Amino acid sequence: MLNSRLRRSGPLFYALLALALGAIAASGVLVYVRTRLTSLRYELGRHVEQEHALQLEVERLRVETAALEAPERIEPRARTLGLSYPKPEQVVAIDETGGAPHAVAAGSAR
Amino acid sequence: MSRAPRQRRRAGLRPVRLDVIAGFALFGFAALFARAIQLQTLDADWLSDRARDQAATTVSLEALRAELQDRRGNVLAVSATVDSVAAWPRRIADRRAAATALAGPLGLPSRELAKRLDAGSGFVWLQRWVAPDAAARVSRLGIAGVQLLPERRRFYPNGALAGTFIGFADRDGRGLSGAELAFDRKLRGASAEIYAVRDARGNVLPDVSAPAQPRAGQPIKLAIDVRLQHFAENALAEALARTSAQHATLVALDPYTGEILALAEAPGFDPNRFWLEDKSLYRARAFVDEFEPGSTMKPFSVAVALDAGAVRPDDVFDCENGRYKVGRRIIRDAHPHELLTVTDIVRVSSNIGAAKISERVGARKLVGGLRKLGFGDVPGSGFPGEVGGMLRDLHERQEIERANLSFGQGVTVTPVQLVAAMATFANGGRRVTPRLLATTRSEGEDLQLGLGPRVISEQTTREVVAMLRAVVESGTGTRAALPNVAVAGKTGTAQKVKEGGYSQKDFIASFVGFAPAERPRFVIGVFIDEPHGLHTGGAVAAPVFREVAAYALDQLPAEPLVAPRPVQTHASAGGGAG
Repeated sequence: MLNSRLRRSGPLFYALLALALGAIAASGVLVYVRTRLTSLRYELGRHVEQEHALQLEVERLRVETAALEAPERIEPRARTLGLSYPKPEQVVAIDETGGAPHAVAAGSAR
Repeated sequence: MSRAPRQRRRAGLRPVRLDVIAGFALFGFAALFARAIQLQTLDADWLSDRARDQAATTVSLEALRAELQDRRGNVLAVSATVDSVAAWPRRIADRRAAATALAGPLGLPSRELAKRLDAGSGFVWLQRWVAPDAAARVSRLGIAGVQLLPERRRFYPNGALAGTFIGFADRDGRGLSGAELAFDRKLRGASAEIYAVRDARGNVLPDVSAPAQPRAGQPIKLAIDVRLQHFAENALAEALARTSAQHATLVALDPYTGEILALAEAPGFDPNRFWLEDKSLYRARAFVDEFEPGSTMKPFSVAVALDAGAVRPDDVFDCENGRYKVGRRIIRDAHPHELLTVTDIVRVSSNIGAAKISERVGARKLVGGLRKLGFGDVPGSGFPGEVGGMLRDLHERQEIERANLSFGQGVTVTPVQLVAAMATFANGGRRVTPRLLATTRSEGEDLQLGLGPRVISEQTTREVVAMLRAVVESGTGTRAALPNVAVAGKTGTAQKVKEGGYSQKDFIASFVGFAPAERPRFVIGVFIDEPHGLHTGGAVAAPVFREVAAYALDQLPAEPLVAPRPVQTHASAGGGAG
């Protein structure tokens, strides 16, 4: 009897069943997607924080490099190594036109 | 009877019950479906807005202020994120204990910290811009109500080097003076606000759909050369110590592009700690302070006279043995002279000679010619607060004023203006606009030059350069001479105006010149304010020029960015008529 009854109302029942299963499956997918999205957001947040920390490190290193390159720091070290600026007498301007360097005698101020 | 109902039930009632269950299920699903449609479509906007209000937050991303660099790419100013220590005193359980614990890491007395915490304020900065190790120590203390807050800080890695030129930016990243102010908009960039969601624990989850980014500021490459600047500042500091002067300024300029290669001031200030420095040192005097140039003005007066055809280099003037009456005033020379050529007038710096040359030109032409050279105009570098000095129009009857003007009295200039005017002689007669930025050139592309229109003929330029060489070879500027390199320049010893008259003991000693004279690579002006003891430009400023010029010849490129035409001069070692 039941089978015959089911047979009679079968299409409706199977349609309802399919709808229910579809809805459950869709809900499952939706929940999965939402959970995954949230989890990805957390992951992204961690990466953003990591990037930010690295950026801060880059900034700090940039400041440190610039400070290490400062002439005020380098000059005393160069002097301890015996280096010095060339004296005016040691500087010769090369004449690109091929002429001889111009010699000037130094004198006293007036 | 007993079997019949059971059979009826089997035959009819159970299917009915099944239908009812199915009906309820259908109704339930339909209701859920309808509700889902309502939530997802009809109420979607309202619900989204509500959810956003509850969980959404905006995070402001400040653009990092861009770097200032020198012409070689060395960093002059750079920004970085550093921690500041903030406190919410009402949330601190034991303020005394907190003050004691924080005293060590912050390097402040615990009494001072306790005073700040007990001030009754809801929020207080305990220390801003703390060092990374101090921040780590504070963080380890874990005091509730005390927190590290990230802030942006501007660093000037070279300390006081070029402090007045670079200027400084405040704690909020706004340029307040110097190049920091001049290029503030470009350096700052634009901040961005990003949408994010905050979860129940307060974690910020960034929005993945539209990741806005702040627009970074543009790095600015200034024309100055850090090495030359460093050398110039050291030379100035030594001169300041040697002469016990109040202040000293040096300006180095490329005569073809107008680039300011060095701008040194002594004493200077350290922009890293600008709030602790004397505010009067913030001022870039080279751009904003006017002074009477004195004898450094003579080559310009003579150039105007030569260009107008009023005199020739070998014209002879009677210099009246050191005393000459103009109107009711007596003009004097530092050393008496009798007959001098125009070249010699410049070489020995005769006031009387310059005054007599100006008689031939006339007041109006003299003023007009000087205006063409840039006197009385703002030089146009774009430096904040830059001024252009004062040059008054004169009538022909104003003989004394005209005579004074010819040797640099009754007119004011800034150091940058005077050096830019001297560049006109160095580049063959073109007016120059001083430039703060380095000139860039792509391959095969012409330079954006700072050169303006021709204001002096090439012939006049050659004649004036010969006179300026004579000044250094055998005139008042011999201490600027370099062995092996021809130098051209002019000394100046200007009396300062004090209490309504010219001081007899306070001077501005100056030397403005260029090298090599035949093919100049730079113009350098040295200005020493109120030197004690030796006080002439030749004795005080010229040696500084010599030192810095030698270094600049060694360090700057052998060829200028624009190949100039060699200047043909007729200077003789004896400094006679050229």
